[in-house]
Amino acid sequence: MNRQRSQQAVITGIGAITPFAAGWPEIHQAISSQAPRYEAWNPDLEPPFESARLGLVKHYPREKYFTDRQLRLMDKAMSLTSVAAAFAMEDAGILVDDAVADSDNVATLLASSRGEAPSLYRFGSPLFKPTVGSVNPAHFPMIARNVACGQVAIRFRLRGWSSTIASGDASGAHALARAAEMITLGRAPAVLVGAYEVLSQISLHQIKARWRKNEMTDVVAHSTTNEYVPVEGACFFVLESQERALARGKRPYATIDGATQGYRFDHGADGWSRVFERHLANLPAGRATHPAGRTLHISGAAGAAQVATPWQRREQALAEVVARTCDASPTPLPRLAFGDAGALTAMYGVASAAQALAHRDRTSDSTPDSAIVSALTERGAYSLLSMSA
Amino acid sequence: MTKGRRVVCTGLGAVSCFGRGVETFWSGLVAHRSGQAEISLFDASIYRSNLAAEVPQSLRDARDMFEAAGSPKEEATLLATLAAQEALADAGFTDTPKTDFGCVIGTLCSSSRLFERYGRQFSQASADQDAYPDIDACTVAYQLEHIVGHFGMEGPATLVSTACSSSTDAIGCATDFIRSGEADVMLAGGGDILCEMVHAGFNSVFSITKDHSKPFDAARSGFFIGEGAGILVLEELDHALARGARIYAEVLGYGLSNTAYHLTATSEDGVGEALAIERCLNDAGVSPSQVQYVNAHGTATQHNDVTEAKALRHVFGDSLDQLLVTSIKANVGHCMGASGALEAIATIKCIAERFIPPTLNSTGDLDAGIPVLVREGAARETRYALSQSFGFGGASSAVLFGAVDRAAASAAGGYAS
Repeated sequence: MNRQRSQQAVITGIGAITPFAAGWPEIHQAISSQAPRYEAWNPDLEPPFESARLGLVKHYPREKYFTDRQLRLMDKAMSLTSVAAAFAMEDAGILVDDAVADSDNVATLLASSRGEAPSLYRFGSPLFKPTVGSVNPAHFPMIARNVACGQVAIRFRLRGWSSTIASGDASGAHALARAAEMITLGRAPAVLVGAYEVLSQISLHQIKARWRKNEMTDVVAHSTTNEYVPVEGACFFVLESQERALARGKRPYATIDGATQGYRFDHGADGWSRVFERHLANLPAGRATHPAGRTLHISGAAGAAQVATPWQRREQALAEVVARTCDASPTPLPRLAFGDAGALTAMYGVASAAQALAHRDRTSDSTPDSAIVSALTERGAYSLLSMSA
Repeated sequence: MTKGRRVVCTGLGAVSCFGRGVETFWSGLVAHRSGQAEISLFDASIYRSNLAAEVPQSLRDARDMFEAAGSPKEEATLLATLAAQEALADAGFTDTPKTDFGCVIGTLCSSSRLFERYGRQFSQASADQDAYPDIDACTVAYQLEHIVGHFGMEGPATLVSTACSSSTDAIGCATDFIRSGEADVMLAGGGDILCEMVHAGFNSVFSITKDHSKPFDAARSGFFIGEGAGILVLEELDHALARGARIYAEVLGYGLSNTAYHLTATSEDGVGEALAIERCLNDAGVSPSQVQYVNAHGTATQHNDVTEAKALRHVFGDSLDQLLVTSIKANVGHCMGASGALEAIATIKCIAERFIPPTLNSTGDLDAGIPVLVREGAARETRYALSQSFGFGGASSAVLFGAVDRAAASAAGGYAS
């Protein structure tokens, strides 16, 4: 059933902060020229394996948007997301003189997979000691996963539809799909949608435990193309209706045509064929037909050269289905560049696809004019997002 | 108005401090019961208040129920799975393959007790890996993953976590999946549990009552945290009619907003909260004067009830007098992210049973001019009923339910309760 939509959701702004650069153009330039170098694993904690590195965000212009006093009352999630959100709105041209037009109706959507752990642990720490101490009420709100979204809303006075997604590493893709839906349904003139991840000692301990449990260590450690780097960061998009973007003279990066999400528990190609057919059938009529040879497939989750785990087998099966249907080869997100980005994975995939579509060679018949961004998690979630130039 | 395909509720499931089951939950409300008691799960004597509404210990100890729920590794997930089992059976889906079903969970505290255990081991530098709880169950997404895995659901699935408005948001999100044609049947709701961190936090900001929860009362002194889960089976109308399903109510619309005011406090003027209600009514195509009942967030904190009254006045204006407003938090406690789902079930039952239980412990004398139903319940035919939730981070959500026209539903092959 092809859906009829009154509006098309387009990307008009991208803002991101990674450990190696702040601002999407800077990030894009950095990863185009050379693979970023990440720092050594935290010396206070044994790494999961020798080649593990860390991607911590240390420098981003938070003072531009907040006073010192305000920053003292925030955790890293709040300041990181607010600055990345500001970058996206500035890129879209909707943040002018520190004000957003029609801010009462601009929606905010945020996603994170593991982002709350540092503040949850900081708040709970006094209770975790052998002798229980008092908690700090100033740290209490930060245990709620949506408080970073609330901070973005407060900073820019955005009172539109607002939500926070926490469905693991699939969260970013889920938030993007919901944001696009809000535009197509006419619920908001613009949606600020993003994801973030932050790290701390306990996050790293948990990440290590997860990799140990899922027996992923050997796969990554022996891979010649990937090293394992959990990262911090934030990435935001401004989505608008195509009509609104054009009316204010803004050329969009790309159109988001539709998304499909769910869980699959087997690895067979037949199942993925049905999922992909359903995804294509759900796209609005006339959008993202994904013509053979002109479709970019950004494969977000594993992206590893070896196919050794159920997770990677699923990804390979899906990639084969997409390749067969669209004659598209999967382009793994360069994990050397972005690292293990949790909910940010899909965001970086969409940003990369949007960049490619916006700057494609229009004179060439073989340049991709549509993109599929897929993300699978080791816990069974999948998402497919279709975009077009 | 964004409706195309219509969405109805065909199954309900609940776990509360009164025990398992929607009828147990509902009869507790009708009988003016409260689950408030001293906390048994941890030593709460060090806190300003030691009150909460825990689920019965017998439910935690029921091995058969635990195994039938797929032996979840985390208690909020157990509660939500039990509620989902009841809701699916109630909708007539016990033996139906659920591959195409979807699920949207809303929760705040799921996995928080496991996180506390993890935090204690980590804080005390335990080198014993076996002492740490299962890592996958320590994250909030576990609740969603367990439910979709247990029931074999491969349709659209996600988890929203917007503090205390989470599961109201989840109902709206699931409604969108059905409206858009991505699924015909969705589970929506969530489960939440009491944990020491959250109890300590709300104590530290003086939100937990030391005597009784009295929503919309001038002498209100806060809430006590509750445990529980609420799951709704939402279904596309024609799909429900075609299989002759019982239809409890229609989900007419929902709305969200952010107050953009403060990380913990509700707004001064109620306008940010009112935006969610107005968007909900607009989504439903229903005017404020048509709404007859509001199941309020009603936490009985100083700030919330005043702001909520202002928000209601802002939206309903002159038609406020024809409303009845209640809060069930004095009965079952503030079930955090799950409160919206339980309150939605209470709202739907008010429509289906044509009866509205009163707000417990309250005289309704908060000087705000809103018609709070107190002391005795009211027999009332309700056509349009609103359930609303607010939370930290400025999150506000509202969902509007409507009675289904019995004659029309019957003529089409289905029937209303």
